[in-house]
Amino acid sequence: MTWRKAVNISLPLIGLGVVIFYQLCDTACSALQGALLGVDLKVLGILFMTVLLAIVPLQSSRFSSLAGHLRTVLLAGALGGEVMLVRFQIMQETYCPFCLAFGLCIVLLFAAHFPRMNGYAAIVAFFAGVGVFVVGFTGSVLPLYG
Amino acid sequence: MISKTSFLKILFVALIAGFLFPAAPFAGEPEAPFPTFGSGAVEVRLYTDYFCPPCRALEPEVEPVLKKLLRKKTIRLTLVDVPHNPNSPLYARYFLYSLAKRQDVEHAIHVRNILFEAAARKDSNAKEQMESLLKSRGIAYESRDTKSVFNRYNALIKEDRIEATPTCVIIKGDKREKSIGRPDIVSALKKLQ
Repeated sequence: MTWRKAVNISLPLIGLGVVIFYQLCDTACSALQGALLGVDLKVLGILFMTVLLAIVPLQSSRFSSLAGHLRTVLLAGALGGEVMLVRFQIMQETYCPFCLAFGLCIVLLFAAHFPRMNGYAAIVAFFAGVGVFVVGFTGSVLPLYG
Repeated sequence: MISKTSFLKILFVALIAGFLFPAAPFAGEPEAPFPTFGSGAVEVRLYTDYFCPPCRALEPEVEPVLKKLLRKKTIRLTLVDVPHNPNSPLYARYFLYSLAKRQDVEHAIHVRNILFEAAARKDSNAKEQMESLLKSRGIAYESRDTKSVFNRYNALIKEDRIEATPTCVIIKGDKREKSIGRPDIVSALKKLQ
């Protein structure tokens, strides 16, 4: 197994574990919540990491090129989204260790694949990710009655 | 087109109706009681959510400590239900409805325990289910206007910046101590004994 394949499997698994652990809440449940276009970010995080894992076997099939482009778009888009999520946490002065750990998984995955990425596709996907989060992200730090 | 006379007639009827039933659209229910107990010098604000497992686990541990502190008149306890889950406001509302019938800490804790159990089972997520649950457990309740209590909850959540549940804020004079999570809350409250 190449180191890149090991990264492709281990980091999404860590990301999935982080989201699931965040949902379980051990000694306290965080009120920090976020949604993209109305969908809970925890759900999106699980879906995202599952898709990345599903791409792994495609890498050694005849769809390897398609899988590579899909991974580029997903990782660059997610990186753009993460920039906005970290910005939200800085602005609210509230930091969520689990969210930051999930973001770190994305950064590491992106870094691992960056040399092989199509630069233009990555840039477009990155800014698309930023744009989608600018338009569709809603977050709350304090749980309040409506 | 409405003639001037018809318009005046309609206006007259509307005014008479307004005088006859002035309270109808505005007559709300009486306000729900605010869940504060005791008169001690130390203020304890306990922030929990019925759907938060650590809050449920905290309850049996803090119950005896809180009751003891209230008996000794050490604390003034405020129980704040945090709307962490979409169903939390429904639970918070019925908790307040039950206090409208009987507002003492023993009863409040008893009702909270019932609501924590129901939230864990996830089987009382509608008004009718909640009412049948309370009836089946012999809890009397009365529908009240909870808006002002919820507004006060919001003010406290903002003031104490509640970012996680359970959280306990202990105010002693100018000193304000915030504990998050079961172990820290239990030890902070035990220190008051």
